[in-house]
Formats: sequence, structure tokens, C-alpha cells
Amino acid sequence: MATEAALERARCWLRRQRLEIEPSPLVVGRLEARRRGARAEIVTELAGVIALLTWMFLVHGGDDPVTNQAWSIGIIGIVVVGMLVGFWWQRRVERPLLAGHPTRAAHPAAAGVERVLGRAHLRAAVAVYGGGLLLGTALAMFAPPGTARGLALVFLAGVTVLGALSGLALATTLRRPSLADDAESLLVDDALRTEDARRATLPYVLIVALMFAMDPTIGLGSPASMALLGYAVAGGACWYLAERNARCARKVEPAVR
Amino acid sequence: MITIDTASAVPPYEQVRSQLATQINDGTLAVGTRLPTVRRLAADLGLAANTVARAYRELEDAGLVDTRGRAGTFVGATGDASRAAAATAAREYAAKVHALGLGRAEALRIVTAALGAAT
Repeated sequence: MATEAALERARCWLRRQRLEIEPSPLVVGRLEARRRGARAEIVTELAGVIALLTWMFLVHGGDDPVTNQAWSIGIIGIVVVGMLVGFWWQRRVERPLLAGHPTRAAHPAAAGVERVLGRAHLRAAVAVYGGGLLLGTALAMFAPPGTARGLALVFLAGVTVLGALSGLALATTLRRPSLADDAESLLVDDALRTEDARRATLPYVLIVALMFAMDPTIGLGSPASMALLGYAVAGGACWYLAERNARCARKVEPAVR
Repeated sequence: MITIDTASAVPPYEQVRSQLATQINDGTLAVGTRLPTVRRLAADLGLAANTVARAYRELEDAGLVDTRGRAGTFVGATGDASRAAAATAAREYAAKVHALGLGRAEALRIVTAALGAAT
């Protein structure tokens, strides 16, 4: 039995999605499963970050800039892994919600990544991660040997790992089965999938670029630093435009599919 | 949208087949549309993979969908061919009824009953 608070949260979420429907018990249950998934995500991230910081300060120590940047990428990696754990946890909680239910609903056509994520977000994600790989490769090729090249290689490895983790999170979101028993809950399922897919492809790699751009070893104002800063700003702009595009699209047509 | 009612007397594979066939024939699913994989649709609808596979097989036999190996199952361009095949079968039936000396009303009642039993 859904509490009044859970119902109100569901109504708020539906309003934000511009879905003018009354929350069914299934929708309320799914949104509550998401809250539990978010809690699992935060616990995982906290535990991971504490473990990494403990290892960094107590066991490893040292002030090598290459190692320190690798640790900071590790922290962002933990955030993405925490998101994957959150997704897994929420699915575990929401899977039994339709167990024993006589009716189920699904789309008759396969939905590709562009349809779920939205064209603007897909382009932004490809630009951000593809651009990061290109920039990392260029920095690794042209940086002078030594610490600068080490940092460039760590940046390239970070972009690759974060891109792979984001890709995994996106694939998990695209592959999860629908959980719907009528047209309205199928609409909600679509909105939840899109929301998850956009979270999965958040441009964490831009934070990495900013951290590297500010690194004193690279030197603020150096060509490498400016390239990293330019990449972060351009990537952020791409993402902002994609978000704005999605908001406008929702205003025009509430039922995305 | 496809809905499945497991409490219905109609077998689940037939529910999947008939809804897909209807949407292909009325153009809701356009020619070239990729259908979900058997596993995916089975997971979405809470059915066994074999159930959806049987529905897809029957749609393929009817010429409504094409399976292109690993690329997936697509709505075929043979929807009109299906109607042509149905028209041919109807003509053959009409000839048989005429040969048997049955009346028009009775022949239509037999067809209606057969259609009712098939859905």
C-alpha cells in the first residue's frame, strides 16, 4: 500500500515528465524502487571513496602528480560504478512488482539507442567521449616524455575506462525488460528508461578534463591545459544544448512515444 | 502496443501473433520496422521465449515478417501478398462451396464460424 508521501512524490515526478496521468500502484512502486536504488548507490559510492582515500593516504602516500590524477579518476570511476550498483538494486526491487499480474504490455517495435536517449543526447555523448579519446591520444602523442606524457596517458586511460563504464550502464538500461501493464505504465516505463539512459551517459569525463587542465604539472595557460579547458567547455556546451533540446521537445509533445 | 492477458482463453502466442498481424496489416507497424528480439519481447511480456518464437514463426509463414539472420526480424514488404494469398484461398473456397451445392448464406456462416474458432 503506497503512502501519501510516496503518492505525492510520484505525482511530482509525473508532472516533471509532463505526463498528465494519475500514478498507479505500479508507478509508485517503481519510483520507490528508484529511491532504494539511489540509497544503494550512495552507500556504494561512500564506501568506495572512503576505501580509495584510505588506501591513497595511509597505504600509498606520496605526491607524484601522475598517481594523484589516477586516484582522482578512480574516485569518478567509483561514482559511475555506484550508479551501476544503483541500477542493479532498483531492478531487483521493481522486478517482483508485476509478478502474478495477469496483463503485461510492451512495444511491438525495437527501440534503438537514439530513440531512447534522444538524438541530441546521443550526439552530445558521442562528441564528448569521442572528443575525449581524440584529445587524450593527441596529448599522449605530442606531450614531452616524462611526467607530462604520463599524465596524458592517465587521461587517455581515464576517458577509456569512464567511457566503457558509461557504455555498460547505457547497455544495461537499454536491455532491461519493460515493466508495464497498460499504455500509461508503458509511457512511464519509456520515461524512466530515457531518464536512466541520460544519467548513464552523463559527461563525467569533462570533470576529469577540468582536473587535468588545473594540474600544476601541466601548467595553467599551457597549450595542453588550454586544449583540455576548451574540450571541457565545448563538451559542457554540447550537453547543455542537448538538455535544452530535450526540455523543449517535452513541452511540444508530452508523450514522447 | 502489445498487451498479453494470461487469464484469457486465447493462447499467449496467438495473442502476440494476432496483435502483430493486425498492426502490420493496418500499417501501424510500417514495412521495414524491426521487431524486438524474441528474448526481449518474451522478457517484456513475461512469456517463455518459445511462445514468442512460435508467434514470429507463424508471422513469417504468413509472409508478414522477414527474419534476416542476426540482424533481426523486420516487418516484410509482403503484406499485400498476404492479402492476395487470402483472396486466392477465398476463391478456392467459393468454388468448392459452389461444387458442393451449398447456399451463399450457409457458406458465409461456415467462414464466420471458422474465423471465430481461429482467433
